[in-house]
Amino acid sequence: MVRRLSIGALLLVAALLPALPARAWDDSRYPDFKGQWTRADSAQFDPTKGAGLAQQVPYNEEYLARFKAIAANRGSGGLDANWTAGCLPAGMPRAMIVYETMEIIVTPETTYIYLSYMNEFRRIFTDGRAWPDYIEPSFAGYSIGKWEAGEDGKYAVLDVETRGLKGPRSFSGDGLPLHDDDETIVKERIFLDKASPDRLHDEIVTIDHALTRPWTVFRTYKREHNPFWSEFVCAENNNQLVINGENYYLNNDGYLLPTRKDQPPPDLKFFKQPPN
Amino acid sequence: MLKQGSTGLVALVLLLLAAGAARAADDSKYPDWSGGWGRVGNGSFDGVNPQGPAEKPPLTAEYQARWEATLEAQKRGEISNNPVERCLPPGMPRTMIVIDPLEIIITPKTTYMLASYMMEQRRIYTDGRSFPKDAEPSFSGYSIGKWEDSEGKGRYDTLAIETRLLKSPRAYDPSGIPFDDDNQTVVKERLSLDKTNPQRLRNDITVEDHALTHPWTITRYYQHVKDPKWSEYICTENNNWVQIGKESYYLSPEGLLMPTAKGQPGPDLRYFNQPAK
Repeated sequence: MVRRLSIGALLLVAALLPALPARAWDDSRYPDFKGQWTRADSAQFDPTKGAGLAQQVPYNEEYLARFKAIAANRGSGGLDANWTAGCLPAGMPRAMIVYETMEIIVTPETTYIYLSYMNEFRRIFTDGRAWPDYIEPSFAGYSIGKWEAGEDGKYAVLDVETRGLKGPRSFSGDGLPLHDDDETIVKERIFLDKASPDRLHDEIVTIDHALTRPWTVFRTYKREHNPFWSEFVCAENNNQLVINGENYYLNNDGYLLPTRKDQPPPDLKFFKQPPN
Repeated sequence: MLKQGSTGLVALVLLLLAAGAARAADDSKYPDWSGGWGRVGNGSFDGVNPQGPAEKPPLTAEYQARWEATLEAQKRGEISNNPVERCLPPGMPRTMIVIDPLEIIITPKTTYMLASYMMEQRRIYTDGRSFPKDAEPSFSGYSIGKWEDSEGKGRYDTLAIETRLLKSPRAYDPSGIPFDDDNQTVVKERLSLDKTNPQRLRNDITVEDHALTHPWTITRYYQHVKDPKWSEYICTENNNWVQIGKESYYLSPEGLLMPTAKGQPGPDLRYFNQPAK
C-alpha cells in the first residue's frame, strides 16, 4: 500500500515536472525593470562630455569634416542634421538618450521598450531567433537580445544587438552624423545598478563606418515607481517646417519665418493667387 | 523507510504545486492574444459601410450639419477634420480601426496595445485603480480595464475597457465624423476572441459623446497573424501635407509648395527679405 503510494507520488512528480514550465512564465527569473525610467544625466549622447566636438566622437576624417559643416550651419541658425525637428524619430542609438520617459516590459520571448518621446517602441526578441535574411530597415532597428545570469543564477543583464537601421539619424541633437550606409550596429548591456536598484544602466557600443573604432558610452536612468505618463505628439505643436530641403519656422500666428539670415522664401510657382 | 520516502515525495509534490502557484505572472489565467492582429473590414469606423453618409452615425442636428460641411469641403479637395493628414494620431476610438497590425501584451496590472499605424501606444490599467481627477488629456486617453471570466471556466476571456480623458482634434475616420468639442467622449470596449473563430478577436465598441443622440455601438474584428513582420509607420517621413497657419498645402515630389484647393493663395511671406528662389 505504502509502496503503491510512493510509486503513485513519483508518477505525479514526473507528470508535474514538465507541466510546470508550461503553466506560466517565471518572472522571478528576470530583473525587475518595472516602473518609469527617466534620463539621469545630460542629453548629450556621451553624458560625461559636452556638446559637439567636445563629445570626441572617434570620427574618420570624412565624417569629422561633415560634422564641422553641420556645426557651421547650426551656428548660422540652420537646422542641418537635426532630423527630429521634422518629427522623425530619434532612432537607435539616440533613442536611448531617453529624452522623456521609458517603460520596459519584460516577457520571455520579447522585451519591449516604450519611449514616450516620438512614440518610439523597440522590440527586443529574446526567443533565440537568428537574424532574418531580410530586415526592413527602421529607425528603431531589429533587435535580438540574450539574458545573462548573475551570480545568484537569475537573469541580470540583457545583452542586445540592433541592426537593420535606416537614416537619417544622428547621435544627438547637435547633429553628430552616422554613416549614410546605415550599416550601424548597436550593442547594449542593460542592467540594474547593484547598489541602487532604482537606477538602470545601459552600456552602448556603436559600430559605424563613420567611426574609426567602436564608440562606447555609458548611460544611467532613474526609476519612478508611481509614474505619470504623458503623450508626446511631435506633429501637434511643431513649428519647424521643411520645404524643398529648406528649414523654416512657423511663428505663433502661423506665419512662415526664415531660420537663417537672408534665407529666401519658398518657391510659390504653383500658386496663381498672390499670398494672403 | 518506505513510508518516510512516500511522505517525502508527497511533500515534494506539494512544494512543486506551491511553487507553481506562487509564480508571479500566472498567465494561465489570461487569454493568449500574442502575435499580431490585423484589421478585418474596411477603414471606415464601423468597418462595414463605405466612409461617409452610409455609416449613419447618430449625430445631433448641430454635428450632422458640421459633418456635411466637412464632406463638402473634402469634395473640393480640402483637408477637413481629418487630423491624421497632419500626422496627428487617430486617437480613440479611431485607433481601433487598426489600419496596420496591432500587438497586445497582457500583464497582470496593465495590458499594452502597440499600434503600428502612427506608433500609438495604449496602456489599459487592470490593477483596480479609479480614474484620476487630474490626468492630462491625450489622444489615446486614459484606459481602465477589467478582466471577466464570462463563461465561468476559471480563465479570463473578455477585457472590458473604459477610456476617458481624451483630447482633440479627433475624428472617427477619414470622412471626418466629428466628436463634440468638449472632449468628454467615453469609449467602452469589450474585447474577446470570436467564439465562432478563435483566430479572430472581436471588439464591441460603444462611443458616448455629446455630439451623438445616443451611444453608437459598432463591432470590429481583427485577424490573428502568427508570425507578424512588424514595420514602423512614421507619418512624418513621407507626409506631403503641410499646415501653415490655418491653411493646408501639398508638397510636390520635388518638394515645392502646392495649393490643395482651386484658387488657394500662397502663404504670407512678409517675414522674408529675399525674393523666392
